Parts: sequence; structure tokens; C-alpha cells
Amino acid sequence: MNRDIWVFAENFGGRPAPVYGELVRKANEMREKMQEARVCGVVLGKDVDGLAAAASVQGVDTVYVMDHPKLDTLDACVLKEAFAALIRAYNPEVVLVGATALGAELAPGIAGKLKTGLAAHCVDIEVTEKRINCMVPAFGGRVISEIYVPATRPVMASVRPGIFDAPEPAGAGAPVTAGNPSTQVVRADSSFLDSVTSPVEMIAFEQDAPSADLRLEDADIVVCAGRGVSTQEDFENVKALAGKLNAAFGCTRSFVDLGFVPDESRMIGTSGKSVKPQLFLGFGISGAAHHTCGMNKSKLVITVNRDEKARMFANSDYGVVGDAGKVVSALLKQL
Amino acid sequence: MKIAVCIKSVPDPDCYDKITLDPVNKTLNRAGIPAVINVADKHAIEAALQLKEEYGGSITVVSMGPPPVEQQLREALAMGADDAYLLSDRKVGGADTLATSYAVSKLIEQTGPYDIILAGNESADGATSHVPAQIAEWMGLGCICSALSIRVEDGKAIVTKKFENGTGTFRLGLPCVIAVNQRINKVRLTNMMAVLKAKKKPLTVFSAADITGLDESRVGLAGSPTQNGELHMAESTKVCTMLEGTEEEAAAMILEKIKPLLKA
Repeated sequence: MNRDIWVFAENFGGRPAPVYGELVRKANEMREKMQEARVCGVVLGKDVDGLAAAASVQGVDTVYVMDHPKLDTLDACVLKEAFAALIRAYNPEVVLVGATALGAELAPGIAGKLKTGLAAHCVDIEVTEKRINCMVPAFGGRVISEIYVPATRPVMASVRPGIFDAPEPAGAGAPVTAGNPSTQVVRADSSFLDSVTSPVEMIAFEQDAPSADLRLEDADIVVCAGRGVSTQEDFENVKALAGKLNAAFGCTRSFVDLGFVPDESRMIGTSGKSVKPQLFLGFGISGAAHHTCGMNKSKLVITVNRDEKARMFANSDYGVVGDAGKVVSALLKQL
Repeated sequence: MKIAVCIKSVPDPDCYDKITLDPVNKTLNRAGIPAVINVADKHAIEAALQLKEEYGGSITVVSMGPPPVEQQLREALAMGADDAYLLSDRKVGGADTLATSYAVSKLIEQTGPYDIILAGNESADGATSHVPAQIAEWMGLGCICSALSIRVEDGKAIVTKKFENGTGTFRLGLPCVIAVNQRINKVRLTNMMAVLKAKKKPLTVFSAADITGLDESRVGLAGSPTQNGELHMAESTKVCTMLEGTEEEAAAMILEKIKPLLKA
């Protein structure tokens, strides 16, 4: 057993998923408290030399690669075989996986295969002298529970994209600047996969049409609609306000359930996106923990709600008691 | 087609803001919060009903938990499931997701075989989304989580799932495990007749000793590789200043505050 911290570099079109940089940064913070720990990337796929090079970011000592034609897939059943084989061969102490659509399915599969402990959707990870504490939200983020793994290894943890800070330009997790190519790439034997048959076969992948709309996770300003935005007109006005402010539009769960937005990519909170913009403008949001756990790292928070007792105000720097729709219209007029 | 649906009884998510932490012994106070079927699991039951309508067969609901979970199983029977099994035993209590998925997989093996094992993608309380993938791992079956559609073609399940940049379609050999996204369907309403009929449907409660081949070292707290440390309430550090005035005045004050952050 060594003290290595592994980070999964999921293949997002030949580059590691953005959450990889966030996790490498966190892993480097953890390593300061773990003697002789190394931070390592994990790359799975077919012809992934380019991905392995891109995963060789600052603060990563080694990138472990498993390259095999069968890994050119989003089927977690075959990917977990490859990942588990790497873990068995090199015995890391910690494995961090971004809770993307794939990662959220892959991580429990690996933990199940290795019979080890996995902490889900951590909002922080602390290394103490005694143990590694994963801070895991429960009851829609109302409660944070410390989860640790006393006996089995590796300690596994999943983290949603956007929870940890993105790398500083010259810091751990950022691309390597010239003259610092110190990462070692280790290609593991993947020949055992020749005889592995997955019960799952990916038969099609339909790429989303490119969208001009700013993504929530990329935005400095987020404008968010809650249930108090009750008419189609007010809803459209909130979206228009987001457009005028060069902000990303977000919403709470009810709009997904009602079909106002097509999927969870615009939803902030549990099972949606986690955002931490410079400015969060919220309209008609009650402030249930399900939502606030996805935005409570935002810098300046200004919210409007008709109910002066709305819990959202406890998560805000400035609050307005009033009709969300009217304030939005007034803002649109005054801008 | 024999379908199993795994359901979980959870404290009603609409009441999570009422949960408090006992400051002395650091335990959760959730008294008075009613138990309900986890909402994603209702969508799994609805998915099972639609599969049964299309391909025929039967629907069995399975759960693990204390005896009152029978109520949620009855509700699932009222939604249209045919029979139900509950694994209820102190020995399986205190389990993390790995120990839970092991016990549930043994319950599924005992009461099966099934062609498709369905579950909700995540529970409202723990929300780990681990259990379906781990049931599949224990049983050596294929699995897709967060499924948006399911159909059966030539004895295989065809399942779609949304990723960050597109939608994947997967073909799974049967039996398989499928965890459904809440967007997969709209859950139908149940009526009084169905509730009355559900009272006569078979519901069997098993203890750990009733499950053949259950490895007791794999269940409950002892079988759980993760342990719980301290609990904390998620508290905000912000102090809110209220902006007073009409909606127009408030809008003007908001603009004043955000102006430095707006790009030209």
C-alpha cells in the first residue's frame, strides 16, 4: 500500500473533464497532509495518448493509462473492470471521481467490485492525523455527515463538478507551463480486456446540438428562477434578464418537473448543477436545502421573494421582500 | 416479463428543512416527519407498469427497512405492482450503500428470477445513487443509471441516458439493472379502488434468517466499509441586508449593487 491519491481523468472529447482540474487541485491540498503521497491521473479509453498528455497537468506525478479498443465507450460496466484492475495493480490510498453522468455510475461499480467504501458527492475532504473525512450532504444538503473508511482501501469519493475550486492559472490542476513536463505516463497492461465481455453495449451516441447559451458552470453571473416565478411571462422575463446581464440562466427543480426546461442542465441544486458565480441573482426561490446546496458558495447573492420568512434570505447578502415578477420587469426597464 | 422494482421509504423531502441536530448528542431530530416512497422510485414503478402494459408479465416490489415500510410497499401495490417483499431485520440495519445493495441483491435472488430490475436513480435522503450500480455488481449484471427511456427488443433492453454533451443508447442483455431518471415518465394517480385492492395483494416480510445464503458479515453496520463520523447542519455564513422600497426602488438598489460586476 502506498499513499497515492488518484483522480479520474474522464475523456471529454480528447480532453479531461473540467472536474479533473478541480480534483487535482484538491488532491494536492490533501497531499500536503499525507506523507510521501503522490497525485496521479487515471486515463481509460482507446488511443488515448493525447488524453494522457492533456491529463499530465501541474501537480500530477504520474498518469496511469489503460488503452484498449473496448474502452472506447460510455458503458460503466466495462470501464469499471479496467479501473478496478488498475487499482489492484498499483494500490492507491484514495480514488477521486467526478460525479459526472458517467462518473456517478462508474464509482459505485468500482467500489462494489473492490468491496471498499465510497463517499458520495463530497462537498469537502479533510485529511486529519487519524483519517480522511469526506463531508457528504444528506437530506437535500440540510445535514453534512462526515464519512470515513476505516479498514478497506482505497478510500473512494465522488465530487460533483463545480464543488471544488478550479485550478489557479499556474497552480495544481492547470495545464503544464513550458519547461515543466515532469509527469510520468505509465501504460498498464490491458490485454486481459480481450476476454472481458460486458453485458452492456453502447449502440449509439447522439451529440447535443451546439448551444449559444452560456452554461451555468462557466458563468460569472447566474440569474435563477424559483417557484415564486409563477407565470410564463415572468419566467421568460427572468431568462431575458439573464441575457441582458450576460449571465447564465438557472432554475429550481419545479421547472424541470413542469417541462419549462428540457433537462437538469439548467437546474441548480441536488441532482442538478453546483454553481459559485461572482453574482447570484435569485427570484422567487424559497431556499430549500435541495437548492441552496448547489449555490451556497456564490460570492454576492441578491434574492427577491414575496415571503419575508423565506429561507433563501439566510443564504443572501441582500434581500428584497416583493413580487419577483415585478422586480424582474423593473430591472429589465431600468437596464 | 418479470420485473422487480426496488423502492426505499424515505422521510418526506418537503420536510427536510424541519430537521434539526441535537446539539448535545449530535443526533438528528426528525420526529414527526412522515415516511413516503422515494419519489424517483415512484417513477421506477411507473416505468414497470408501462413495460408490463407493453410486454405483459408481473411486477414485484422489494424493499429493506423496519416493519413500517410495509405501508410504502402497500402504496406501491396500490400503484399497480402485483406482490411485495420486505427484508426487515435489525441485523441488516445501519448499512451503508454497499451492505444495503448486498442485502437487497440477495432478496432479489431469493424472490426472482427477474428479467429487469428497476430502481429510482437516487434517494431523496442519502442521494448517493450508489445502490442500483452496486446491486448490479453483486449480481454480475449489466446496469445503466439515470435512464430516460426503456424498451425491450429481441430479448434485450434498449435504454437511453443523457450525458453532459449528448445522449447515449445502450443495449443490455437480460436480466439487467436499470435506475430511472425522474424525467422518464409522469407517475399516474392511484384511486381508492386500487388502494382497497392492494390490501389483498401478497406482501411477505423476510428476516435475515429467511434469506438463503446470506453472508451476515456483509450486511448491516459490520458489512459497511464506510462509517459515519460527526453530523453538522449546513449553515449559511451570510448576513442578509434587506433592501426596502417598492419593486421599482428595489430594482434600482439592486442595479446599484451589481453595477461593478457587469461587463461593459
